[in-house]
Amino acid sequence: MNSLTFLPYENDEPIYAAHHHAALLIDLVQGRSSHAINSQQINSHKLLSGTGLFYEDIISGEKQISGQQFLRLIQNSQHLYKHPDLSFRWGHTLWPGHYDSFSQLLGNCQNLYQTLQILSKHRLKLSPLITPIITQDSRYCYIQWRDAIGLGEQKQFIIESWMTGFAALCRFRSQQKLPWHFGFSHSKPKYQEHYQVNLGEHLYFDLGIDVMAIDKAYLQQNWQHKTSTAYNIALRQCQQMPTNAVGFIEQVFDYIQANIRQSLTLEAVASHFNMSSATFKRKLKKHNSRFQQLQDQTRLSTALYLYQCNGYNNSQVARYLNFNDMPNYRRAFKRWSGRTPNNLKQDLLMPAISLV
Amino acid sequence: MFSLLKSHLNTLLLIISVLIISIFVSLSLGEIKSWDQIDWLDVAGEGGCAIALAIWIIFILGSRPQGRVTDLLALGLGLMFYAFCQDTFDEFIQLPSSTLWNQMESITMPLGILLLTHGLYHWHQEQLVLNYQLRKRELVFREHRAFDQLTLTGQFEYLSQQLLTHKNISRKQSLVFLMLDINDFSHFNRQFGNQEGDRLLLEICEVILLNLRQQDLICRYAGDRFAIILPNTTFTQGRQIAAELKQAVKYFAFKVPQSSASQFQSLSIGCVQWQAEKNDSMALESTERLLERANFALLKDKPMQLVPVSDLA
Repeated sequence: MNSLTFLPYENDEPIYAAHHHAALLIDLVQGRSSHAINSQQINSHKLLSGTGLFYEDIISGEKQISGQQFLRLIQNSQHLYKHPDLSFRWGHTLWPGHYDSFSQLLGNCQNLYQTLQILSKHRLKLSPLITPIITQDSRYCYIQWRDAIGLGEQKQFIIESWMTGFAALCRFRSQQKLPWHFGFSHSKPKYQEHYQVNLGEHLYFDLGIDVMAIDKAYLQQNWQHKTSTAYNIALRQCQQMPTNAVGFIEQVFDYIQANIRQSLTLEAVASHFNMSSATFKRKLKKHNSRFQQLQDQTRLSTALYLYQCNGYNNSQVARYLNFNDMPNYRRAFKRWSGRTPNNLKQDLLMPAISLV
Repeated sequence: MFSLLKSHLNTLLLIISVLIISIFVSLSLGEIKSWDQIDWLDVAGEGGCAIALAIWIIFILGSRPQGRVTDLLALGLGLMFYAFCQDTFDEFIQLPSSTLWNQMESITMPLGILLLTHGLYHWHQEQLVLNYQLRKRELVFREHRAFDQLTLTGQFEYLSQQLLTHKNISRKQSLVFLMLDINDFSHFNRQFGNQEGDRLLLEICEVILLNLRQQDLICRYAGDRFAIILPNTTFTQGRQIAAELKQAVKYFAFKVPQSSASQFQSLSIGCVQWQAEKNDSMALESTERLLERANFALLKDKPMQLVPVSDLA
């Protein structure tokens, strides 16, 4: 298990630089009103209330914040900003960003493939809160955005930002709008027009997972070439900095995924992490999660992967996931995703569908 | 609201000082009633009216700049407020009957109502002027919550409502619908920041407004995308207007503090006519379908074309 080589961290450990992603959000919320009507400045005290942070901390450039503080800040921002376009606007500013050598590195990647590798490798610095999981089949490349620390109610907001941000980064670097397809675990929101304008026309809701897909042909397409010297220097600098830490929820997900063909019990997973069941449950609760929910999500994403990438049919997937009979599998699938397997499969990108 | 209230400080002070003086005059002329003489129902009724009027005064002064109409409204409401306060004091203080002071109360109320009515008439006149200024931003109905705070145009919801009302009319007359956005707006934002991006959106919206006709309506769809309803317009006319908008924006020299060079923008515009449904020549297609076609036409109008997959390998 590679999880043992990574340092685990929980959502109350100060691990993210406050002047990175969080500061960009603060700037947006505070700067919104300078041209708008009702231009009352949003007070930084209100914005940071309940986070235990002060504005001076953020601008000091040295403060580290925890996942809990980050999520509270996002919650406050949504509450004070009162407009659904905040997540998308934040997304546009996320990458390459101003995260020292990590942004240097990300901004100097020569193609999409390299960008994905860098983002995934240095996810603690570049993609805090959610983990990009990259898979490929014969035709498409997929990025699944998976919760790393238990995002709770803020998940949809963060997913909106991250997908907008990554698509915007690709557009910025490749100088063309790449034909991404976007799948969301949540339902179609009321403000769907913002999805359309910021992401494009290929949107799928109620998919059970949060995933972006693109034709593999775009992976190696050369992007506007800056200098490979800058890239190499940044690469060396980043390698010297420790980024090998994994969020608690991410670790649990990884363990369940590695043992997906067995029906793991909560006790078994708890003992793997050297905890009593009670402690494990308490930890999960602290991270806004339940064991059953994490297991269901992992099974659902595995099922979708098998349908999409391996071309499995229902009974093959059921057998793979150790279901004895089809009605049982169908019922379980409905519980995971809210839809029947055949209904959900209609929204998957089967290889027969043309992308452009 | 409070910033506007500050500019009316003198008016508020005047109302309060008149009130304080009248309390002293009443106290010096009359005697305080005994506890069981007080009719608490009257106190609640008249006192409640006085409080409600005080709230109205604050809302009205808080939402209006200084001027003649504001003075009339404040004076009218102020007098009514004063009359209700006086009524409330009378419940506590026994005044000798038929003094001049006692009669003042019967004069202030009608006078206040008269002034308020006069003020409301002028407010109506003023509102007609303001409505004229708001044309191209709103049509037929008003809903401030549906308005975008930056460009002061309707948002998606307002647009959908407007389209539904137009649907009934445009069966007889042709309606053209435009969907437009700024090319490479995200690049501009990256270069100059979100604040300048907001200002650019606002100013381009103004440029577009200048080039529209009286009956047209612009709404902010989302982000940098705007929708325009052109009622009673043929498709050729619509195309002409779209071309004019592109020209107007092309020559709009936007200045940013970071650079001495003006920043020029270009628009992409999707232009569609509201057409009959395919299988039913009587009914118009749904608003969703109209929006979908307009968005598609907009994407087709983009200068930046994707490199086809076959050329990548």
